[in-house]
Amino acid sequence: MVISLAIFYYLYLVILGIFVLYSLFNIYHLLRFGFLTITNILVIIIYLAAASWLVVFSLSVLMTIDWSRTLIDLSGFANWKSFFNFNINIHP
Amino acid sequence: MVSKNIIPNRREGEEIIYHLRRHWFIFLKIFLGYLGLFLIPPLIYLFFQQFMPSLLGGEFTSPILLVLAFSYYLMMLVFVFTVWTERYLDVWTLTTDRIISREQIGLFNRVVSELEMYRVQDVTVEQKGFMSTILNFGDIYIQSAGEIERFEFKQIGNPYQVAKTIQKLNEASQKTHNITV
Repeated sequence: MVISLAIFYYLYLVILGIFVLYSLFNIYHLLRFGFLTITNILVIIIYLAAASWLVVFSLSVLMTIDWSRTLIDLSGFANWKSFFNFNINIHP
Repeated sequence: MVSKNIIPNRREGEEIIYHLRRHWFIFLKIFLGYLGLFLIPPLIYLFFQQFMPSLLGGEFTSPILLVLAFSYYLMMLVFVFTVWTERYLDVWTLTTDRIISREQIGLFNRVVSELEMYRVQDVTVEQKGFMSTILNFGDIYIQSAGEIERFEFKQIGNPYQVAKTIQKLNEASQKTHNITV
């Protein structure tokens, strides 16, 4: 079994998912309960711009990395039975 | 979004006097506080560059550090936005008849309560600290004879002026309800 560097990429995608979910919750609350004011609209627009930039920039940087590289190679443990495959010679 | 002129269950002749929010300094404080946290990754980068440059160029450490830095920024950004949303959605409205409190407690808990103006018994203003005194913001506690005994306006601007307005509105409301103290 081989654990590749991609595990960190998947971890990032999970965090990205949580980020998107919470961002949507916040925007929903501001749209649903916030007053129709310049401040409210401006904050939502600035947040969306900053969040989109961060997501696009981070993904564009992370996509240049070769994630297929092996981080941990556990293939030696695949035939773990060989660990116990030893001879005991008992001479009476 | 809700228009400023809309209040829950508006009565005939009821006028909105103020919509109160936390003072702008509170929002600035949030922003500045988190701006400091946003500077942590560049500082760590400078530290590594100075003392452990091999980590930054490492075949495995470099992508891992990038993932950690981007994750940190995503979490910080959404955290600042959540704190902003919670503070911004706290609104206290004074009308000629009522005091309406709308508070966002966390993302999934919104409390809306109201108090009849004629039930107000006592108004207390509290200004604590250097900045609140200089910039004139503070808390107002309203003692009432209603179900919710104590209303709290948190960190609002010009609290003495607001307290005075509440007292005037209370007197006027008691007169219209023929209540003598």
